[in-house]
Amino acid sequence: MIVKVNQLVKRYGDLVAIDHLNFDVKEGEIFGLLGPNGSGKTTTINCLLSLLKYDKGEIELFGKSMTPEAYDLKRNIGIVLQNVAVFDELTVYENIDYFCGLYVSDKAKRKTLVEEAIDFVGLEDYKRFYPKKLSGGLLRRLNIACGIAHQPKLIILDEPTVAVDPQSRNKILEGIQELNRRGATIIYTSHYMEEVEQICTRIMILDKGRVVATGTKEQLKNMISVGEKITVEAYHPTPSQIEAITALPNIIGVENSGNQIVIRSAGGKNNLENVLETLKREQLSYGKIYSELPTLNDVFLEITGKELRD
Amino acid sequence: MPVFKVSMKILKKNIPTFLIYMLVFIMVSVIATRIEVLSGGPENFSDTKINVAVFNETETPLTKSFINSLSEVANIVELEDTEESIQDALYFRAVYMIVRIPSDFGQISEKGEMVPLDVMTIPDAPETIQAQNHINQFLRLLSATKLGYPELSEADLASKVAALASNDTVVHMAEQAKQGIEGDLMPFFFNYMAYSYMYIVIMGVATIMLVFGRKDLKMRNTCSPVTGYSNSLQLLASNGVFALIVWILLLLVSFVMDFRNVFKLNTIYFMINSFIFGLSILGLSFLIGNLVKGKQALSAIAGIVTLSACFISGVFVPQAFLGESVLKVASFFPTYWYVKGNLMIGDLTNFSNGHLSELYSILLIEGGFALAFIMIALVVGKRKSLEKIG
Ligand SMILES: Nc1ncnc2c1ncn2[C@@H]1O[C@H](COP(=O)(O)OP(=O)(O)OP(=O)(O)O)[C@@H](O)[C@H]1O
Ligand SMILES: [Mg+2]
Repeated sequence: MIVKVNQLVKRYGDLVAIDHLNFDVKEGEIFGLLGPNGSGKTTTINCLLSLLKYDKGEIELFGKSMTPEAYDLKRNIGIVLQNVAVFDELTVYENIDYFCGLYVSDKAKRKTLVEEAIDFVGLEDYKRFYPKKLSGGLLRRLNIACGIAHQPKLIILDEPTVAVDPQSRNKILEGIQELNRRGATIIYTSHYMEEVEQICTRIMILDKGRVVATGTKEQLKNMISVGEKITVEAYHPTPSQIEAITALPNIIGVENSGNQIVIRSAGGKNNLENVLETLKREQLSYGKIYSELPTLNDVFLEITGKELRD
Repeated sequence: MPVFKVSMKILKKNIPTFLIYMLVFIMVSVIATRIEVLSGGPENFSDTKINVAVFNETETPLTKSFINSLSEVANIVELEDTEESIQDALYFRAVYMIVRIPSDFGQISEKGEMVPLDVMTIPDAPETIQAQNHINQFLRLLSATKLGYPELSEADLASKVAALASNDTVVHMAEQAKQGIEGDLMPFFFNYMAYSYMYIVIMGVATIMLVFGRKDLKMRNTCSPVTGYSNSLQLLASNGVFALIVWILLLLVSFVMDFRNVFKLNTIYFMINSFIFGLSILGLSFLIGNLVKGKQALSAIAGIVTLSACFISGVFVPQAFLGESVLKVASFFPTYWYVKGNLMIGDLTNFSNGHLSELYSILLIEGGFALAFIMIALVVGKRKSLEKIG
């Protein structure tokens, strides 16, 4: 077990930011921490790194208790904090070299590592740039390079894609998967469910400092009663035609708005196939058909009664 | 040593700023030193003579020689001996001092004491100090001579005391004149240097501390395996290098300004004194850097601390002119001891251990300040790094 958090409680005055949180991260995982703004992701990460004192609970990293003085543990962790932390006075290269230097003192070895990190985030053309001259996306990439250059075993990234253009975002997400393939265990926080779904092997959904659900994205989606949503463009279906669809297995709701039928299923297989067959058999002419699988937003919506994003 | 290296880089980036400070301060110091030396020189000496009215009840050889001697440091002026004219003269500062010589001047009273002079001055006027000292000196010499040569006639006594008193004045004047002629700039320059040295070092040290004190960077650095202790030491080391470079530059300026005195032994002591002072300034700057947040606040505080410490410690106004309570407060600043040390070194002609012991204790006190400031800064820094960040 790389990370083990047990009964973590963190209060800011009267506000309980983290409420008896339990989770663990296994070696090789990309562990996603998904939650809306203010759900306690950053607080969790900061407690994990002993940057914050917490009120209750235990935190173990690599099987050892994490404290502010656990320098041997810190050596194996790469950190990309939510707020970009780089020196405005140093160039891109100097910044990465500094942060890598906090972990690696050998000069020659560091040089290779820094070059690798620069290639990795695609900042080859900006080595001599100062942070003030970088766009938001490039700055985030620099922040990431500073966190991962020393090739740590555990990498913690707190919303590294906030305010980043789609191109940089994809580059970052692919990079994280690549780091994972090279052997790093990753903790990734975000409030974008698409990102988390795209890269995370296991996801914990947080709300108001509490765990809403944990599991792989399939497991999470299976937790809820809503399954596939199929929308059919069809003009004025007859009541008997609607009835035939409603009678199909797994179908929990059919809405007919005159030119469009929305069919909701409760998980299960072959729903789209069954619907298509029924449409043919009932000789109902239709235009476009599209099918949407449930999202993590549906999961969040069903469990908490509100949207993940506001 | 990544922290050390980066802080040196940050300092390097700020070299132009520091050079500007340095140039301005050097210019001010040079000008101030020149003014000090010139105005303190003997050619303006007569300007400082004050007007004194003397009422002499009986003219004797002794009173004559006394008045004569007094005229070396004061202009003897005529004044009508009425209450009203005396009050007016003092009020309008036409005279600073009224001396009434009793008819039995120079006699020993029944109590075995010298008959006192009746001296009236404008209250708290520092201008009268020299004349008062001169009178006291004359009286001391008079009573000593009377004791030593009880058989002398009054006329002989008068001429002997007059000779001794004017001798004393001549020696005193000669010393001043010699200093002025040789242009002994070093003591003055080293005093003024305290101001620029303090300001530049505080600004430089705090520039580094501000960067590393930025919340995001601090959090990020706290996540690294570099211990808090190592972090502080590396910062202290780079700050120390900075203070050292500034010290060397200021020394070079002093050498250029007063190259004739560079090879005097006093120069070595000036260097030692300023070096140890530099250590205490380093400690103070480190402390300020640990406490102050924000560049604006920083330059304000650097200015206030530097100016007030230098003012009450006698950098701009000689310590002799400052009140006792001011000096008492000043003694809580290393600047006070530094200036005191400089004065002492400037007067040194004999370098035996006996003469130096007082200087050594001053140097020790400055070193103590350095140590204390650094310790406090380390403790404050540690407490802050454990503080809740969020
Ligand atoms: N220093 C603080 N003092 C008081 N309350 C705080 C502090 N930091 C965070 N909080 C509160 O704690 C809760 C959790 O905040 P946290 O920053 O952990 O959320 P987050 O999930 O990281 O949100 P975001 O997506 O905006 O980064 C929020 O309600 C926030 O207002
Ligand atoms: Mg956050």
